[in-house]
Amino acid sequence: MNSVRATILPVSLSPHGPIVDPTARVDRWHTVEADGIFVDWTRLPLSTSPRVAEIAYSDPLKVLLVNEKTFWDQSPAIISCLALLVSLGGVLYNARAARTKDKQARTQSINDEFWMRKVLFPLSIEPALAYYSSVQTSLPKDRFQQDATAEAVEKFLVEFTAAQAGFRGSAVALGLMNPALLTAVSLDLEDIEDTINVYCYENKAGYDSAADPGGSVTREETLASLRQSVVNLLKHIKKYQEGLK
Amino acid sequence: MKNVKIDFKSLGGPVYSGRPRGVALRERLALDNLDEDQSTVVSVCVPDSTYSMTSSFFLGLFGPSVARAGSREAFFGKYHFQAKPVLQKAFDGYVDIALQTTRLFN
Repeated sequence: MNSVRATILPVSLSPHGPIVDPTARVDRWHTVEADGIFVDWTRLPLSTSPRVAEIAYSDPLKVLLVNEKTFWDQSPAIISCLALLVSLGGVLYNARAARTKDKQARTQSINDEFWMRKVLFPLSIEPALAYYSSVQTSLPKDRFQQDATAEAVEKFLVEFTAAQAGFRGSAVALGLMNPALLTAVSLDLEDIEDTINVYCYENKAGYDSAADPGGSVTREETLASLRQSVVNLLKHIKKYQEGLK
Repeated sequence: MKNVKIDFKSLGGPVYSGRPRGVALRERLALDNLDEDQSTVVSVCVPDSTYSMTSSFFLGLFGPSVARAGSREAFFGKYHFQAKPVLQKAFDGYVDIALQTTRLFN
């Protein structure tokens, strides 16, 4: 195999192809193209000039060294691909976000508008609210009122107990939506039941001329307590609805 | 078969209300231990002088026992109530509520 001295010319790339530029300084080389034969530059024995190299080959060669393509030389395609990927990712992200949002809106619509407004509220809450509202007038008079009677108290307690049992049973359905809501509402209903039972017991005998005004629960106090329990109940429902996602 | 008696005559009244009171009495009577012992039957005597026993008190006292029993028959098979009909009817309703709630969450 003959050893030949080849002139190595730096080449810069242009849109119209490689341009030989003998004055250009070549710092980095990528491949050597020698008449169609690719030569690994790193294996070429370097002479004092980086542009002249001894290479082993049978015929004289004109060697063109092709500058290593810079990132920006190679990048248009890469950048296009990246841009495409980013854009595709954006489209997918937006589609997923829209889908998640739709799903949340649908879940909220089902939970809030259907279950709460159309089923549970009319079934479990509305009748109780209407009844407790009527108690404001139907609660029998307390022992301090001359026309208070034992019969009125007993009749009221029987009716209240039956109605309250119905409300407690209906409220269980709230557990379908949220166990914590059921627990909270059940405790509110229990407060109401306790309040009414204590009132009825303390006033079970009807009018009592010797009753101590400060010693027992009055009608006004009981109704105020009832209203507070109803407000608490509504607060729990409101809090639940506000937390719907 | 062991028989344990709970007599409300000695437990205050005549109005039994409030969940915390029921829960406190449950602890005092150690009903959890009685529930674990399959061979024990509990007689619950509620005197006629009792004016009312609200659901909060009853469920605080017996709620976990109802849930553990799992059915009305099993609960009333272990806890034998002696009470006036109006209270017995109320207890039936309370047990139903406890069972409905238990089934909903299990």
